[in-house]
Amino acid sequence: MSEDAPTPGEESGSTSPQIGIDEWVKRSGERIAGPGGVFGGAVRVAGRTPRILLLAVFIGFACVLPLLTSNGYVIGVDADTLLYVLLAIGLNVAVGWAGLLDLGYIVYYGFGAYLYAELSSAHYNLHWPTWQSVPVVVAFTVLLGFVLALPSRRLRGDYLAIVTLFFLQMFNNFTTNGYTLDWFGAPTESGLTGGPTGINNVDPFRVFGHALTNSPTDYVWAAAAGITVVAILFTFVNRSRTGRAWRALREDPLAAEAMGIPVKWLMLLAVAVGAGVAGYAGAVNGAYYQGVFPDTFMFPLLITIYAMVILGGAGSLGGVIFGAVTVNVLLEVLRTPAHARWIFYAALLIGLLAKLRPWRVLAAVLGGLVAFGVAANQIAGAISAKAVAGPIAVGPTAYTKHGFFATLVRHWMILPGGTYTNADYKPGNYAFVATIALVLALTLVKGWKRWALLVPTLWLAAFAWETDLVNQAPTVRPLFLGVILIVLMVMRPAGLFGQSRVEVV
Amino acid sequence: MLKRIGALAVTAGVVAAVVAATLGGTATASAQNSPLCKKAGLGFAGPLTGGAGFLGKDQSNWVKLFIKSWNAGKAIPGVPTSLKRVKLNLAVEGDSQLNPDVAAGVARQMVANKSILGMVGFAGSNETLGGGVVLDNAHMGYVSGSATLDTLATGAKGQKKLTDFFRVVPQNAQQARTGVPYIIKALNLKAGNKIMIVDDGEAYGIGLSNDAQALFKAHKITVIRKSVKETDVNPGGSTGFATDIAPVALTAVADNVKLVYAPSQDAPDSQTFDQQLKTDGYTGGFMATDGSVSPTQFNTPGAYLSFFGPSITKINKSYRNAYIAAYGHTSATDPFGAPSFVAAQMLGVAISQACSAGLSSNLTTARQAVVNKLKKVKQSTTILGYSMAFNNPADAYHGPKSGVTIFKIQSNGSYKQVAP
Amino acid sequence: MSTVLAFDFYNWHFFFAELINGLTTGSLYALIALGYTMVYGVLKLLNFAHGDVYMIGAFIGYFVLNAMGWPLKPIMPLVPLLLVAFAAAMLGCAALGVTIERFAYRPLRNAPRIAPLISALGVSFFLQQTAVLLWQANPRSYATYSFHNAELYHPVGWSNFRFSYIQLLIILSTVVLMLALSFFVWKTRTGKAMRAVSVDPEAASMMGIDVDRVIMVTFLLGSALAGAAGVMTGIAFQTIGPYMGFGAGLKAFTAAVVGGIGNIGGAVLGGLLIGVAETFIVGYVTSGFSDLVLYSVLVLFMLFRSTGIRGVAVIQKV
Repeated sequence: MSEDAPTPGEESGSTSPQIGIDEWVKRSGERIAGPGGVFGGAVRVAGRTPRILLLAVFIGFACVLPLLTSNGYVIGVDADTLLYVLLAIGLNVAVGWAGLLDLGYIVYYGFGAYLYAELSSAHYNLHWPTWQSVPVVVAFTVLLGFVLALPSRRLRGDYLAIVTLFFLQMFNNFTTNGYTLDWFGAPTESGLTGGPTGINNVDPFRVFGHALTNSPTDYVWAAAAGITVVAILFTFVNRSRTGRAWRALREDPLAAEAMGIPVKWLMLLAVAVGAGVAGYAGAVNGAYYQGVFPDTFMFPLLITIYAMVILGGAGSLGGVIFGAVTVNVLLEVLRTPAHARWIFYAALLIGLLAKLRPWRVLAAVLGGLVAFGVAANQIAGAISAKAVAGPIAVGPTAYTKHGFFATLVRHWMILPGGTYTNADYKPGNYAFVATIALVLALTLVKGWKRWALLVPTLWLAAFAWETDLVNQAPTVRPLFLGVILIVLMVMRPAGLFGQSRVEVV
Repeated sequence: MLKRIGALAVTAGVVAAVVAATLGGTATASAQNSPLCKKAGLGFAGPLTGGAGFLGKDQSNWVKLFIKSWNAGKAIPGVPTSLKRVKLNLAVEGDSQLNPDVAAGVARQMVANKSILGMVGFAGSNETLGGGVVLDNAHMGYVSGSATLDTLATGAKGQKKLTDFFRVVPQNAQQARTGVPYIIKALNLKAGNKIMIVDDGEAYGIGLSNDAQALFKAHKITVIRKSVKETDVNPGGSTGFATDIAPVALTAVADNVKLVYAPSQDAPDSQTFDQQLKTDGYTGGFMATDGSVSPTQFNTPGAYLSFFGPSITKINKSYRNAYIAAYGHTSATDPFGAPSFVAAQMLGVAISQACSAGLSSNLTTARQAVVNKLKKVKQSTTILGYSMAFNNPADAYHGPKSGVTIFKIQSNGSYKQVAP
Repeated sequence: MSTVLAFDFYNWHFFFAELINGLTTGSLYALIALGYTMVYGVLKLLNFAHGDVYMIGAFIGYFVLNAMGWPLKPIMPLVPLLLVAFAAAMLGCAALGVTIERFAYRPLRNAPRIAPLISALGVSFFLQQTAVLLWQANPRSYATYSFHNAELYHPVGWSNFRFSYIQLLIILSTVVLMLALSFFVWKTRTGKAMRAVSVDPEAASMMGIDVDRVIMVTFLLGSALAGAAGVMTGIAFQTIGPYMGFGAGLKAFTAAVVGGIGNIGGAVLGGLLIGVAETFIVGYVTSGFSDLVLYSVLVLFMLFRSTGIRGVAVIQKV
C-alpha cells in the first residue's frame, strides 16, 4: 500500500509484524492484560481462579439477583441479559470460531420462538409440555441451521453475508404475512404465524408439573441453566479437535482444507450448533414474553448481538459473555436520562484518564475544559441572560429536580431557554454534527494541537448531550451501538478480549 | 488468555451488581400511609423513537400538558370542580418503540416504580400485546390513546384478553362498521361489484383490512386483497421506498375496481397511492383510514377518510393553542396526540376518586382500586369535544351520538365532515 | 391472497405500464448498485453504509428543493431547479462517502476481512440513527404531485405504450449517468488506475498508482450517484424516511451481484432486472409475499451463478 500521509491507524504499519496495527493498539492489549493498582490486582486474582469457578460466580450472581431485589424491572433486565448472553454465545460459534459472517442468525432465534409458540400455545391448541416442546424446537432449529448453512458450502465471505441477510428478510416477510396461510388447520383469523401481531397466549414453561409464571425470575433460571450447559459444552468443544479445526478454518479455509480438514462439514456444523443455542433462546423468549412477534426478529437485534460479540472479542467465550452483559446493561442504563447522564460523564472522564499521558497533559486538558466551559457560560450569560436560562434535564421531571451535579453543569454549560420544551430543538442537532466533525478532525492532528482541539470537542459534545441527546435516549441507544462497532473495528478489530489475529494478505 | 477471560466474567458480574443496585435504588418510594395520594405517579409508554417516534412524542407531550394543567388546578373540560385532585407526576416515560418485547421491558419498569398507579399507553396494538401481560399481572390499569386492534379487549383464539387494558379510541371494527356501510352507500356499490383492499403489511393495516373485508363480503361485494410495502418505518425493513404502490395501483385500474380501501399509517404514502391511481386513469373511489389523517400530508380531492373520533377541528381551542405554544405542531398533534390527554385525564380522575375513597398502602391493592374506579369513570365532555366512559370490555364508549367520523377531502384539500 | 392470475397479461397496456414502473424502480436500484459495484471492485468491501448515503442524499434534496419553494412556489424553472437539487445532493453525498472511507474504512485496509464489513454495518446504523436524531423518523413527502398540477405525472406515449415524464426522466438520467461513468472508467487516466487497482492493488501501487487516491475517487463517484438516486426517489416516489436506505441498499447490492460484481454495465442490468422482477411479482403474482419470492429467486441465483450475468469467474489465489 502506498502511504502519502501516514494515517493514525498505520503509523508503524510497515515495520510492525502485525500489519495495520499501530503502537497504541499493540500496547492496549498489555494495558488491559496487566493494569496496575486495585483493578489490576483484582484481575490477577480472578485470572488465577479456574474458569469454571468464574462461570459459576457469574451464573450464581445472575441467579441470586432475583432473591436480592424485589424490583421486577431489575430482574427483567437480568433475564434479558442472560438471553442475550445465550444468543451471543451461539453467534460466537459461527462468527468467532469458524469465521463465518452469518447475518441470518436471528432467523434461528425467531424460528425457535415461533416453533415453541406453535407447539405450546392456544394457537393450535397443542399445549405440549416443555420437556417435549423444547427438545423438538432445538432439534428442528439445528436442522434449519444445516439447511440454511448449505449455501456456505458454495459461498464465502461477503456472498455468504448477503445470502444470510436474504434469509433474514425472507423470514420477516414470511412471519409478517403468514396470517394468510391456513396450513395444518391454523385458525383462519390468525393463520400460521398470526401475522404482524404474532402469536400470543403462549404457554409458560412447565417444569416437573410446575408451571412457571411470566415472572422474570423463573426465566432467569431457565436461561441460566441453558448458559451453564452450553458454556461447559463449548469449553470442551473449543479444546477438542473440532474446536481447533474451526479456528484453523477461520484463519485460512484454504490451508485448512489442504491439511485434510473437512471444511464444508465444519462450516455446516458451526452454523447448526449456533442455531441450536439460538433455538433454545427462542423457546425461552416465547415462554417468557408469552408471545412471539415478527418485529422482534429483525435487523436491529442482529446489530445488537453483533455488537456484543464484537465488543467482548469474537472467539473468546468469556469475552462474549462480558460483551453481552456490558452492552445490554449499558443500553438499559441509557434508557433513563438521569442514569444516562452519569454514564456519559463517567465515560468521558474514564476515557481521558486512560488515554491522556503524561499527567501534565491530563491536568491541562481537564483544567482547560473547566475554564472553557465556565468562560463560555459567562460570556453567553453576559450577552443574553436567556442563553443560560434553560433548565437542566433529568428525565421527564426535569423542571423540578436539580441535583448537586446538575448545578455544577449549569455553571459550566450554555443551556438556552426552551431547550427541552421544543421537540425539534436545533442547536443540539448542529452541535451533534459539529462534534462528529471535530472528533474526526481529532484523529488527523497530532501533539499539542490534538490536546488543544480536545477541549472544545469535549465541551461541544457535552453541549450536544445536554441540549439534545440526553432526552433522545431512545435514538442514542442504537447510535451508541453503531459507534461501538466502528470505533472497535478501527481501534481493535479483535474486540476487547479476543486474540488479535494476523491475516496474511 | 484464559485467565483473563475469567477475570472478565467477574468484572462483568460486579458491573451488573453495581448497576442493579443503582437501578434498584431509584424505586425507593414506599407505599406506606398511602403517600401516593399526595402525589401519584403516572407512566407513559409509547414509541419515542423509530418510525412512529413522532407519535409517541406527541402523545407524551399531551400527557405532560395534562399533568401541568391538572396540577395547576386549571379547568379541564369534563373534570368536575368539586373533585379533589390528587397531584400527578409523570414518573416514567418509557420508549416501547412499537416493539412488543421492548414494551414488556418498559412495562416492568413501570411496575417496579413504586410511585406509579396507572399508565398512559401503549400507543400501538402490538406493543400492547407484549407489555400488557406484565401490567395485567401487576393489576395496573393502562389507558391507550391509539391502540385499536379489536382483540386487545376481547381476546380471541390464540390471543390473550388483556384485563386491565382501556382505550379512549374506538376499536378497528367500529371504524370499519361505520366506514364500510357509508362508502357502500356513497359510491352506490352493489352485490357483485369489485373493490380492492390494500393493507400496509403492518398490524394496523392488516387488522383494519380484515375487518373491512368481512363487512364487504357480507354485502356480497367481490374483494381483491393486496398488500403494499410502504416507505420503511422500521430499521432493517426490506423495501426502502414505496416501490409497490405504482404496480398495485395499476392492478386496481386493470381490475376495474369501484373502490380502493387502503388503511395505512403513512399519510404521504396514502397521498401517493391516490395520486398514482388518478394518473393511471382510475375513476373509482379511494378511502383511507385514521392512520392517514393529516391535512398537510394527505389531501387529494375526492378521497374519503374514516377517523376514530369526532372532527379534529373540535379539539378544545385553548388547550390546542397551549399545546402548540409549548411543543410545536406536528402531523400527529391533533388526531393521535390529543386522545392521550383524555387517557391521562381518565387516570387522574380515577386516582383522585380512589384516594377520596381511601387508598390502600399496599401497592398492588392500590393499583387494583384505580382499575376498579377507572371502569366507572364518566366524563360528560373532554377536550376532544365529546363524552368519555369505558364500556365492558374496556373500550371507549362515546354515547349513542358520537363514534367514528367520515371526512371527504374537498377540492382545496380541506377535510369536510360528511358523516355522521 | 388475491386473484392469482394464470398467464393472463390483462392486456398489453397493463404489461407495458408495469414494465415502465419496474424500469423506474430498477433505475434507482441500478444507480445505487453502481456505487456498490465500484467499491466492491476496487476494495472488495461490501459497503453496507452505501444505502444510507443514498438516504442522506434524499434528505439533502428534500431540504434544498423546499428551500427553493418546491413544489408550490418554485423560484426558478424546473430544469435548473432539479439541477441545483441534484448537484447539492451529489456533492453532499460525495463528501460524506469520502469521509466515511477516510475514517471508517481506511484504517482497516489491512485488518481481517470481517473488520471493514462490521465497521460498515456500524456506519450504516450510525447514519440511520443520526438521520432520526436530526430529522425525526416520520416519513416526509417531496409532494412532486403538487408541482404544476401534477405536470410531471402526465402520461405521454403511444396507444398502449405510455409513461410519465418523471419515469422518462429517471430512466434517461440513469442511462446518462451510467454512460458518463463508463466513459470515466474506460477513457480517463484515473479510470484506468481504478481498473488497475481492482485487479491488484499491490501491483498497481508498485506501478506508481496512488491507491488511496483511487479509492477516494471511487467512493466519491459512487456516493454521488447514490445522492442522485436519493433525489430521484423523492421526486418519483415522493415519500422518504431515515430507514429507506437499508432495504434499498440490500436490493441494490444484490443487483450489483446479479450483474456481476465490479461490472458497471452489469450493475445497471442487474438493477433493472430486479426492479422489473419485483414489480411483476407484485403486479402478477403476489403482493404480500413479494419479498419472499424475490429473495428466494436471488438466493438460488447466488448459489448457482454468484459471478453474475456479466461477471467472470475469478480464481482466487492466496
